Amino acid sequence: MAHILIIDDDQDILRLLEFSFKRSGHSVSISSNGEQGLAQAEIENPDLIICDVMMPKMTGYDFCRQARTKPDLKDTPIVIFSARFQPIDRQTALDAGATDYLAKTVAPDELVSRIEELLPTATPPTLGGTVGLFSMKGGTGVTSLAVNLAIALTLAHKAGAVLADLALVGGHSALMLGVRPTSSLPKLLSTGEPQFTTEMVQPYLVKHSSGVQLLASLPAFSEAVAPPDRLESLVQCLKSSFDFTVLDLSHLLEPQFSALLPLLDKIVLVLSPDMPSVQSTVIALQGLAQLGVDDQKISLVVNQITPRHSLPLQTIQKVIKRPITLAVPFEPEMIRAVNSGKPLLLASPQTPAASAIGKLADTLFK
Amino acid sequence: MNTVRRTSSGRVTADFFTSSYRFSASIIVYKRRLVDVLADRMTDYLDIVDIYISRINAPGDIVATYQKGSLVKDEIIFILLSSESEGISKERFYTTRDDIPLFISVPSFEILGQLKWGSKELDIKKLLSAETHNFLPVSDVTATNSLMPTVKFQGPMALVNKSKVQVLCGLNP
Repeated sequence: MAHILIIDDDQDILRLLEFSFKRSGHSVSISSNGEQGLAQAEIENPDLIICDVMMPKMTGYDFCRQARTKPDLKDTPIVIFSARFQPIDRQTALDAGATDYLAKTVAPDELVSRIEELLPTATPPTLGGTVGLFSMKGGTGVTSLAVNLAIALTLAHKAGAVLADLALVGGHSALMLGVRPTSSLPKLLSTGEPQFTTEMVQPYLVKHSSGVQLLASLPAFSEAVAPPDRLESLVQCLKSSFDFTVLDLSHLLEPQFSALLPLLDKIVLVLSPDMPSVQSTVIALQGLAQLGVDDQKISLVVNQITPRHSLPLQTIQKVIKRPITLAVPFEPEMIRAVNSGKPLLLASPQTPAASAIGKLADTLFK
Repeated sequence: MNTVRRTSSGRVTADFFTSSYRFSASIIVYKRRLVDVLADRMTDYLDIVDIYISRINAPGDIVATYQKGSLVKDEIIFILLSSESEGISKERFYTTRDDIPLFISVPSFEILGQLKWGSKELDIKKLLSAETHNFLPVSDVTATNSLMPTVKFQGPMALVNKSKVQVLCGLNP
């Protein structure tokens, strides 16, 4: 399954291609002009882009030229799909940076098979790293992203991943994975050993069918505390025991979690497209800067948790004064996935939201 | 999508050539074929939309785009189509005809292609004068710019403006 962005001003063509690629198991997003398509491509980082030539505001050739100047898009396959079908048109497209050129005389099924030949098929090499997800504002979907990201990393890299729900009490990772942990993070932290080892931690983990191991929070009220040194030792142990460590950090800027900052390879700051969340994100970025966090570590992810009335991504970027790394589109199936305890990435892997989370995993550890 | 560019809204996209320019544009034909729209004697103009203009010496580069415009029918030298069907009038679409190789000289271009001809003997005079359509449908076309022979255009069908034809040579079937 790949994520394909189709850019064409002809609504008939857009609908036809969207249908054809979805039928072949790919996730698809569409855009009706080059400018908007370029902004969308930067955020979604698709596996492949199909682009018309004759479009208002920006031609397909200009799209290619501009896309090749963007670090995230410089290697993305771009297929020009145009009604201009002369050999010189193909050459012009290739000179502009396109990967291939197809005339609109090809049938949709032929187009799909030609496109599939261009999609990267190699399994990426196993890397590794530690990522912490957090948001200053509640209700932005941090936990659902963390759960699905851990699965995406496990599946994509065929590697071991652990998800630690650092909410301590009342976190929802176990619920979203549909597992019933017999132990929890607060119990592990309360053990008397000064340093954690893999053998010590293992009994506190619960394994999900995807391969992800979960260190769950306590599903009952308790005045659990997390001493900074204990947390630091635990995360160091997880880092050395697993290829990928995903931390669901609801309160990264609180003092007990600040010791974890140097241990994180990546920080995903999640926001929803509304003013309170944008404001909280500005504050969070100021906080991270004051704590000396390397700016390169931070990825901003907009999680579109509602179907409408969202702030445009361009507006959010202007307010925050930095680019959005990725937008996860609104997905009604996400609610069903949460309620059924079957994560979106497994329940509905062909949805654009699932594809976006897969893309986030690639972006973080490519 | 085999010819593409007739969409549900009755839009056909094609390349329109004058001696100096290539206009990639669309025309709303509704339920007619392009060749029948060209034959409409009520107007000397062809209304086109979504126009992408290239100079003939660099035909891949788009130098300007406009949302709408009008082409003077008489100034069009030929129109290159991505499908044969748009170039054959509905009234003779189902007629069986032989292919006759043709050479046509028009301003700035020489055109090689095939003519669908039903009679036993090719009558060039009749072909150029007596037919009701101003544009001659030629299939399997290669149009070469006479001054810059590296500039070539190919397609399954071209409609060549009869009033621009300087020389037309053909072989009898």
